[in-house]
Amino acid sequence: MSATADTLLRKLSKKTSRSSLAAMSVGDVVLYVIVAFFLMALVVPSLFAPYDPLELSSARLESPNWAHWFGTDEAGRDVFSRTVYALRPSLGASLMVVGFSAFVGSTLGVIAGYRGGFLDAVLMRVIDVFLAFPYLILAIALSVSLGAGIRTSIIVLSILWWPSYARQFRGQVLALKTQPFVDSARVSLVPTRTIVFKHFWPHLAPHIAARASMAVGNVILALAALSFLGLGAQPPIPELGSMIAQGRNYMLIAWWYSFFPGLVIVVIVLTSLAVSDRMQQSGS
Amino acid sequence: MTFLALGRRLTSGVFVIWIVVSITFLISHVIPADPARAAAGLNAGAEQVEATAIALGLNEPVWTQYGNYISGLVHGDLGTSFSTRQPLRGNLFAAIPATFELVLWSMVIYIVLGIGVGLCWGSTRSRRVSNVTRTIVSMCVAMPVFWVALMLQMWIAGRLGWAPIQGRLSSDMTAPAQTTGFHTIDAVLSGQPSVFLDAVWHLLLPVTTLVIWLFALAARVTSTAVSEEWRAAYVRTARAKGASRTRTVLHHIFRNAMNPVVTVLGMQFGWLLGGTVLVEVVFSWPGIGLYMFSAMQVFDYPVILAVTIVISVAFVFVNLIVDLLYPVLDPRLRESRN
Amino acid sequence: MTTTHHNSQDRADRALDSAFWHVDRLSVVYQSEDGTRLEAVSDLSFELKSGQVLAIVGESGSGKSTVVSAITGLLAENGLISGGSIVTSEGDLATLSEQEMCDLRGALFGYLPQQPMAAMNPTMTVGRQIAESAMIHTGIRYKEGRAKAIDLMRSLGLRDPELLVDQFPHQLSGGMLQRVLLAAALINDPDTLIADEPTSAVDASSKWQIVELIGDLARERGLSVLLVTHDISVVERAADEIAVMYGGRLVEHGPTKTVIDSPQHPYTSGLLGSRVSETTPHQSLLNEIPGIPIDLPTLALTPGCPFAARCDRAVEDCHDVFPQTKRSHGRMVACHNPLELRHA
Repeated sequence: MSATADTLLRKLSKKTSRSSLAAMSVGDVVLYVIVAFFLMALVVPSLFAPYDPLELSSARLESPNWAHWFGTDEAGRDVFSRTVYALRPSLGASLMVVGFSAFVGSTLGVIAGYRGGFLDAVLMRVIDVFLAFPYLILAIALSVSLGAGIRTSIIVLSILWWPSYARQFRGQVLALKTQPFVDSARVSLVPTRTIVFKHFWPHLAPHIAARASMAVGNVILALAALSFLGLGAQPPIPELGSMIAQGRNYMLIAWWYSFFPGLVIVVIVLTSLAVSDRMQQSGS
Repeated sequence: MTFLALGRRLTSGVFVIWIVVSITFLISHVIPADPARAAAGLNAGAEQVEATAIALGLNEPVWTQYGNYISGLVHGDLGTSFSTRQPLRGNLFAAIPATFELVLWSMVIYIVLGIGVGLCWGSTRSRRVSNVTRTIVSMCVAMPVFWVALMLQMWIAGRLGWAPIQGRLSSDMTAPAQTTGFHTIDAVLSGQPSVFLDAVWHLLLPVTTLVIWLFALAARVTSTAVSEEWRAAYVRTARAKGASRTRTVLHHIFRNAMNPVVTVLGMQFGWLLGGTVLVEVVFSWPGIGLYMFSAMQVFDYPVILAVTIVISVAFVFVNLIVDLLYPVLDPRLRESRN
Repeated sequence: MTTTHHNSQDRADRALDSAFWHVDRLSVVYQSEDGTRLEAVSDLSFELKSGQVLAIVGESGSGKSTVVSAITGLLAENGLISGGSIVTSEGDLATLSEQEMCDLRGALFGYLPQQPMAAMNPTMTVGRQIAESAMIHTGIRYKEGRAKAIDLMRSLGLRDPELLVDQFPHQLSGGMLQRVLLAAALINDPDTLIADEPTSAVDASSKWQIVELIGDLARERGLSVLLVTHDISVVERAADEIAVMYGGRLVEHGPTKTVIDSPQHPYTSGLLGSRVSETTPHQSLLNEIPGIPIDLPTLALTPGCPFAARCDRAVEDCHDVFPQTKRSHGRMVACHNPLELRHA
């Protein structure tokens, strides 16, 4: 279809469909509920967990039943409760990683894009080296050196994640730089900092948000992988990846042990993808 | 590509490897409180630690160690394992073919499957097909690769017995004569069909795990590229000449869409390597991933370092090939013939 | 459905039945998901005659591109032919299935796109793109197709076709690519050529060359040409008949000379007055048509003549009902208050 007819049709549609904007789709509502649940479980796990995650009992390796929705592990601990409490190291840590790397990455990227020159060139080389390199290998090497633990995982993943933000925002700043409002701001001697924060921010924010929410999913996969290998949270702290690893030992007799924590990861990742999609749609 | 451009890419590749190696080396020798203790074992006495330090050259200043290491690398000496106290080259090179076989089979299958699905997905006009595919692809991407490996192992191998639980070959089979290091190819070359089948049987689950995860990524990027191309002017021209949708996709869109796809596939190779480590751990596949995992548990830094180097080299090499592919795909990037 | 291969004998016979294609009351509608409809073409009728060039003229938004899409069967997903027919020797194109249309595209008619560089596949050689239609419809292999392509390129005035044929589009100039595209459109010797704004993205000298070439082809081969353009000067040079579109409707139609000498519809008059030609004196004010160009969404909701808002000859009827067609002396106009005919 010609470009003219395309835009005209869209204009016409918007005019007549404004009234239906108020109704949110069922999918959106479900999404918000899920996100709310995760965030609350993150902050107040005791609200959702029927048992103390560290509470030992004699009900060892019980398959899922009404008392224990996700079954129990080898020490009689309720898997469901442990999963809820595991959200803090898993989801919480990934939020921290994303927050940190988004902040550092976008700031550096924006500055490099805006200033250009030597700083920009150096940054790009660094990013190129980091960006596609098998991060898990590096993460393993770094984690072994720094010592296993949640804190290490957070640091390591933050180091490995910020370059992708930097690159994206550098690109967007380069595009924004050519816009006329930048020149007029410059001419009026507005300081760089103001230009960046006050003027660029509204354009960049939705993209940062969309990217960040998608990253939550990816980071949690990386965190779980590190924990699975034994480099993340240490026992008895429950963490989704390490629970899966522990479940390996009881693979043939207690399928629920490894299954449910993994399922929760899948749900979290899908949720973060969906949230990211929504943000993209509303931003553009 | 000109020799100059090739030379430039090679140099930058070596540069990348050097940076990675240096960073890993420094981190593994500077940060840990006491690498000698780690090497000697956590229960070792003070004297033993001392002796270990001297034996492994850990008591020298860091820069000396670094220098020795780099010069050793250049001469092909990849270091000495802390745990075996032997040069680790032997073990490392023995493990490489296993990983290579796993990676290569996975790549062939996931690329064909991923691009195929992506072509259909990007061209379909059916909302239903598009949504169903997107759901399936999203699920495949959201599942942690080690979890998928474990689930397959648990249910397909453990419960149903349709595939072996671990390893490259059954315990009663011997590996075929080494030509390529690939059990599958070697078995065919030496005319041992039963070994070939056994090797394939063992590859089934590990390869499936990697493919499930990776094909989704490939399908997604292919689909996006293809649906972008459908909007191009030349597609309309082709259709106006009587080309059916199928012909348009295969003869016109495919080649043009491959440019961004190849770029992303090159980047994905890094993730593939990471995923391979996890898969090797779950299936006890005797490759460099498992080697690294074992080393990790005893703080055997030289091994970790060596594996990192091997992987860096592989990664740089693959990206080089990707760079060489661009002019093949897009004539505009070739040197002018006139 | 097999593709009938037309030859000059057939065409000679057909020339006696001089109306080749007959588009009758064609209407095309675009629909969005929420049901909003946009009628991009309303009640369009015209004929294509053998050996003649018919130019459809209009600004963007007039619906002329949609006409091309509808005829070639390449309307976007949300577009459909809501009424009328496109009658050709192979039947009513509006009723054919996708498979049947595939058989006809490139065989019954050839399509010449705009923007030659963008309209070519950058990763395929020029020769293959020219031969493609022949390979699809007659099943020949590339070896044969390549030879045909070379001959055709030569006859269209391309020098050294043996060298060009294996080159890629980015190695040729815009003007050369235009001829390549023409070759691709004509390789199966179709009866009709649909040229979709062939001059809009081409430099001035190439523009006249291609226009002359099209005109020559029409005369020499008995090709009927549907030339869609917004450039009146091109129409003057090459077209035998001109059809003016505005707001999806045909507002004037007639032999080029007479319409240009004496336009009947106020829009046509405005178009002619605002064009630049060699005779326009320097620094003279170009006559503008007052008002803003057509806003189809608004149009969709208002009855009457689409040009009424901008017309300085509008009468009351113009806002209420679309004018009936008035025919005389081989011309037609749809206007409540047409201009007086200037008799030569």
